[in-house]
Amino acid sequence: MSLLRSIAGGLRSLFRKEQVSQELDEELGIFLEMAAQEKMKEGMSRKDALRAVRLERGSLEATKEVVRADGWESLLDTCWQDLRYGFRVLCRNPGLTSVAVLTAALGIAANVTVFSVIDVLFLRSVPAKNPERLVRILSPENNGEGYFSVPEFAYLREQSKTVEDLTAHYSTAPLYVSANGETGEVQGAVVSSSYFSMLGLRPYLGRFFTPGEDSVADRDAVAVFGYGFWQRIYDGDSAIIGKNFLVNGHTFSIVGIMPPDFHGVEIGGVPNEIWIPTMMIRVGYRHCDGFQRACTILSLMGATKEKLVMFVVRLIGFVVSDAELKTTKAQRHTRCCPW
Amino acid sequence: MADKPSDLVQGTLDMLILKTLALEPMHGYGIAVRLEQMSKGIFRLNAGSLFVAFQRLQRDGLIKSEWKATENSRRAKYYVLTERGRKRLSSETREWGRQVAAIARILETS
Repeated sequence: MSLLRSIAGGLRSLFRKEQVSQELDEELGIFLEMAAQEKMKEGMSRKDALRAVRLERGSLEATKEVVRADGWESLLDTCWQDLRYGFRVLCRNPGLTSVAVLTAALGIAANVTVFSVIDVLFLRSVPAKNPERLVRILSPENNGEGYFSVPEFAYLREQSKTVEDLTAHYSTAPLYVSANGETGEVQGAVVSSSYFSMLGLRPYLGRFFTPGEDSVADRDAVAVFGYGFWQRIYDGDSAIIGKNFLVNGHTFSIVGIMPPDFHGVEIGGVPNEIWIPTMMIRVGYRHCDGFQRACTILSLMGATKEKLVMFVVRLIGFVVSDAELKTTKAQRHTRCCPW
Repeated sequence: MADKPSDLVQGTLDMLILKTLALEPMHGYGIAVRLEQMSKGIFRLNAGSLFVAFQRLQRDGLIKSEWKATENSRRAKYYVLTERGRKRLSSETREWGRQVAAIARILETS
């Protein structure tokens, strides 16, 4: 209550500055005049009386300043004056001003750029249940880009002891889709069935495809739709589960819808809108036969069994995966890196 | 005036102004004179501290002001105690009594 009143009083002083100041002027003038009159009754001349009052009670100007500076609004007023003064000075020196503005603009722009890069590279993590346990498994071949083929993935999945839910994904598949009378290219992902459990996802509608549906080449043409894509194409119609549509000319059926906030694991990349099984890779990728060892397009991810400090994961990943791979004829070295 | 004017105990000016106004509405100079008379010249107040106190008390809603004619038929701003101010005065007076008694007890021992 008293805070409100104080604010109201301060605002009144701010916005009706002239009136408030005039009132204070008048009141103070009367105060000093009365004090002087008193002195003159004792026989002083008017001049001496005024002088004596100034000494005893303080001068009009000094008192006004003290009263004005006591309210909170005086701080605001001072800031405003400083701002206006600063603005005037800047206007007077256009050269200096433009250099200063340019410097500030460049500085801000550089920082924004650096931050957005760092944000994508280091700060944002994969939308998973245990992102600190996720690792990406890289192959040093192919100029260190680290991709695998389907047979290599199948082998590692059988043999791996260091990670669970070993998952393959090819998340930048341009898919030509015809659904509900609309046709267009979308960013799709070819993923193994462990993708969903590794990331701890739950379908918004329907289900995800099962390990069984990702076990025989070219057999199970099933797909999961992204929430946004489903909204756009089918207007959020929940009766579309089981319906058919075309991916690159092949008939697929919709088994489920992704949760609304999930757009794939390529952070900062184009969001995924359709997910199909790795066993349908020939539909999703056509530059080489996805089932051949030479066709290395899959990224591998997995969750480490324990929450480990990252350098330990790297070490174990390197040693164990290396040992596992020595038994293959491919003689490829893999290592584990923090995702 | 035998003694030199002395400074007020910090924080007591508000209470003294409220006390002065409890008798009757008064203008600034009147309040100053009355405080000096009642203290027998011990307290001499400069305009700065008085007017800052008026502004503060007014914003706290303890006093309000109105322009009126003085006894010499001049215009002056009169301050009036509000109901809130009256309550504050009685609580502060009580508190002051307690403190003075406590301080006196401490000073008397030894």
